[in-house]
Amino acid sequence: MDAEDRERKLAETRFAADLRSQFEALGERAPQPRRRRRWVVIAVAAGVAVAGLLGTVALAGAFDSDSPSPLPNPPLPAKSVYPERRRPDLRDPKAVR
Amino acid sequence: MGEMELRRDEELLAASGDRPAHFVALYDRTLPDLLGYFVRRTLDAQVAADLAAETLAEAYASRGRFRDRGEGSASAWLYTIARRQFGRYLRRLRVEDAARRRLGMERLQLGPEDTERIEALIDFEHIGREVRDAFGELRADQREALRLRVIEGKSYREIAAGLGCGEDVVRARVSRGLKRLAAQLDG
Repeated sequence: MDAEDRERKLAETRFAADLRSQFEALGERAPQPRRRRRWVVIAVAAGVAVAGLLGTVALAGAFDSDSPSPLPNPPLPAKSVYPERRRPDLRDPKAVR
Repeated sequence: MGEMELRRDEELLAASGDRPAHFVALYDRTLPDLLGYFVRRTLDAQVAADLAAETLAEAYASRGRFRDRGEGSASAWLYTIARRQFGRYLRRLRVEDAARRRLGMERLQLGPEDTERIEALIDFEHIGREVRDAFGELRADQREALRLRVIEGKSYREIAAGLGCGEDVVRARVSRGLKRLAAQLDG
């Protein structure tokens, strides 16, 4: 029996066939790369779409001229803590100086 | 890339990371040689089958780490795993099944016909010649200890009493003799 014949006989053993079936089953159970890649692409595309949508909404809000954001009230003038002196009325001659 | 386009073992192994079906093609190519490698070393068809299955399972589990470094690198990678498995078997006298268990693979029991076909890979005449040559190259004391222990089947106590030395000395001679014999047959 030459080497080629021995190899052929080995490949025909039940052991070789059963072990082969086990590796085939492992291959079938393994996740398919295309399907896996497709899910990654879908997830990334969805992420980009949501981010774009949020960005657009934020920009639209910032430049909306119909509803300007109310300006804050100006600060009240500071009140002096010192007593005020009455200002003399220069047009009234009876006015006490 | 279609399976037919992958002619080299390296291409099949590298592509099997994404497409496990390519591993089956590699399995078809490598199983006979791998079984021959193990059965010529263990002289036991069932042990050889277990070692081949465990080696291929470990190769399958770690195929993603293989790097194609040119012609012969797939075989070198696979036989590195095979040698490691064989070394573990020699140390523990038990075939590991960690990779098969991790993958959920069953251990396969050989039938009489399979055993006969795998044993046909052993060239007993050639091995007998090699063993005789390797045996003749052992140190005289190791050869004598091995002959009494392995061929005549005497206990360590009986051999120690007959040779006039301690049991530990006999054990060491047998152990070193076997290791040297294995190294010479493997080389």
